[in-house]
Amino acid sequence: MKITIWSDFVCPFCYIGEAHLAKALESFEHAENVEIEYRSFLLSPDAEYVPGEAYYESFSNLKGIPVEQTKAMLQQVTDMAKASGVDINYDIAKFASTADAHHVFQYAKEQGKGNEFFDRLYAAHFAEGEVLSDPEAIVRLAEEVGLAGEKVRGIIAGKEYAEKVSKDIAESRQIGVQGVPFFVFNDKYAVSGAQPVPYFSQVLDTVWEEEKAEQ
Amino acid sequence: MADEKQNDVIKPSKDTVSKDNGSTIKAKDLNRIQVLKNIDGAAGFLCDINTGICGPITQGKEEKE
Repeated sequence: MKITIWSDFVCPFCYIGEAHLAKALESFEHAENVEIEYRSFLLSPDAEYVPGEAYYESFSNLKGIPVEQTKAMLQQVTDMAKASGVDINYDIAKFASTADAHHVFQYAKEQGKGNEFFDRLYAAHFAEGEVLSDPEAIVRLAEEVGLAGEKVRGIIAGKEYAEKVSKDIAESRQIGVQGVPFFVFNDKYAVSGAQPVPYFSQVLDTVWEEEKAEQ
Repeated sequence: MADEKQNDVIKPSKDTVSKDNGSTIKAKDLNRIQVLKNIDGAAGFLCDINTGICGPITQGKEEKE
């Protein structure tokens, strides 16, 4: 079974939703036959990191949402993450563009390190306060998953993987994605958003049974 | 939040498939991919790709799909 996930490193419900999927897979008896593939999505391509500015301030300024509404949104996310056992800390998270990080992700994917890199950047953003638009931070995180730092620097400078990121985003629009995370099972069934663990379990069972019946 | 219609409940319709465990999935054609909907009351949460705002999925949002 193949699961394709459109996501961004700074998307909290992507992080939470994938934690739910991971829990569902823990109790799915055919988990070893499941392959997960991430696809790029840029949730805030125009985000700019402003040193010293709190996450809620940057978000509020860019999106034009009142500060109090932004704070309420982030609190809801934090509460839900806590209930799901996911570490999200907006007191230290940095609001920044993820474009360069996605270019490197596409390279990591080619090197068989895509999923590892994606998971590493989730934690870096939500729990460690890393600035995901900072080239040196991206290089360091890439090296942590076994990628060559100099190659990664070249990718960030050269933008040669921008087309692959754009292609992922274009495909998401073609299939009607309105929000992330967006999970597609066997290129046939989709689940939109972070759903509860039992729901993912139900979908895994349903898709597996259908896949087996078709063989 | 992302949408003020947070309390909307996605109700079963004719194309709802009932499962033995009591939960249900609704499938809707969307090009070649069918979007499965959890209509058990837990609609889920996402970040809107147009606004970047994150919040509960509402019926209104789903209809856009």
